[in-house]
Amino acid sequence: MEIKLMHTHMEKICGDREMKCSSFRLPEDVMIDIFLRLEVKNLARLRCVCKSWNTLLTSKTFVEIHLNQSMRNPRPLLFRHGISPSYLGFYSTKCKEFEDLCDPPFRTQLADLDVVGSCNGVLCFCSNGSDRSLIYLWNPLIKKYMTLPRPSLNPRYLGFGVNSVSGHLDDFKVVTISVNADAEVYSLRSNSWKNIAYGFPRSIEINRSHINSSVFLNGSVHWCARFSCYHDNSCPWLIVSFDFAKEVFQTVMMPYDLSTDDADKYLNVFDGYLCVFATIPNNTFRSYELWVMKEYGLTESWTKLYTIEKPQRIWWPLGFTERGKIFIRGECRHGGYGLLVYNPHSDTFKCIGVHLPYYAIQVLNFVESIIEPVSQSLILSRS
Amino acid sequence: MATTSTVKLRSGDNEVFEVEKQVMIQSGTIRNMIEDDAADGEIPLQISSRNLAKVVEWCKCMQHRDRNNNNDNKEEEEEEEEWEKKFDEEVSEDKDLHFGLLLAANYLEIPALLHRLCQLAADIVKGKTPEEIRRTFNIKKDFTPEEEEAVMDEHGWAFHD
Repeated sequence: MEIKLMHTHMEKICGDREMKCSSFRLPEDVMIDIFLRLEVKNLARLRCVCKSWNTLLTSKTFVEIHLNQSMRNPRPLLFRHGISPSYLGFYSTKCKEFEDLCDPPFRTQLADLDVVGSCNGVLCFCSNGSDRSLIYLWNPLIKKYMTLPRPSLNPRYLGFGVNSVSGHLDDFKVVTISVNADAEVYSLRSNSWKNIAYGFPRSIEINRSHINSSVFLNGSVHWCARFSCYHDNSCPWLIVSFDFAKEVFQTVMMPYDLSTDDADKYLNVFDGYLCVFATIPNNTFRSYELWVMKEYGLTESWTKLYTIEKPQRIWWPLGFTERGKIFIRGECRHGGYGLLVYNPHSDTFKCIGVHLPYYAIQVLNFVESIIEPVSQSLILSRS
Repeated sequence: MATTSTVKLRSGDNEVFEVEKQVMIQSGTIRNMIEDDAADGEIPLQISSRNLAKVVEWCKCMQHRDRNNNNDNKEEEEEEEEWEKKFDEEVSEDKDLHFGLLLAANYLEIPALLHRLCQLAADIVKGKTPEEIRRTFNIKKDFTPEEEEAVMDEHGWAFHD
């Protein structure tokens, strides 16, 4: 009985197709399995083969599976700015070499841009002069970009991310905070800005440092911040975040041990957790501690991962490599500042070939995707 | 409980293959049937005898390799590598065999074989122009001239290095 059932089932699935297989009719999941093994550039070529391939390659199913696969292998993307030529490229710790990313297709040059963030394969840039209201979204791998309409107020701080609740992969948003703490949020899907009713919390100041940028995780963008206090030096540190789904600002406390001293803090994401690097002032040298928030939003879950005893070098943590090592800007053995990779397990530093005078470099986590950062993209509009 | 140590697989063109159960449990589909005691008679499969023979051969080779994994027999190792290389070449050059095996591996749920065949397909597609891909796989170009122009216009960058 069971065999008979199986037989009819098989005929349905496999039966007539095998005879016609020379016309390349394979089940969708097999096609997806094949396509997932190809680079984004090859996928773009495949879209030109026939309608059914084009449809499959732009379906939400495929774009999402492709994104989830890439998320397991984020790549560190380096952005050197404030110096000519500015530089944007990947560094692979495995091959120990750089791979340049193409120049942005929009008019503004890299040197005149600040990077706001990187999320699901899309980079967000803003103009870096006194006017920061020129904002671009760009997926460098598929060469698609969008120039945003200008916000009504010149932004002082910006944050970029995706609304991960709506179920739309291209629900990218940009939040801006003006000098007067008025906040606006842009939605790619509606291609418009709107005011955030209560604005940015007034008693909080985002930490302004050229190394500390916004960090996107869990549907929210985060900044290192301090409570404003005019008469007291020990204004406590905290993390302020903007939830792109609810469109509200929220606060997360720093580890208690770190929250009251004056030393620098750097926010980042490590292994999927929100993390803070903190300098620990000491009598003779400074050390660094890395703390991770094991359970998102829960202050009690802050856990110290390790302490780095820093041998008289001045350095700043910038980000992580794909293997959990730390990119730092610091002093190379032969003098001069450079980009180094620190291995916390062997406690060793390695200078890599980027010459850095007193200029900034940012390390972003880049995830490859074929999501079009374009308003009303044809891709994904059918679901 | 199952009593015999072999399963009988009948191909779409009525050829019967008697294979050790230990070999065929690499197939999720057959394994489930064995576990459900539904594999005692002949199992009819809509897979041609040519393709089924290849699947069985592949499963035998893999099982042999896994069993000898701890053995440091250089000669056998080389032989297996040689066999796999030949398998890859044969499949890459014979489109009908390739697709037939893809369907069979998918239906029989043999992940390792499916992955290998998908990788071979990806390697074939890599770097080819749309026209070459259509020719290789007998795919009909179903874009209207306007649609084709639009899609080529949008993705023209992908054809330059």
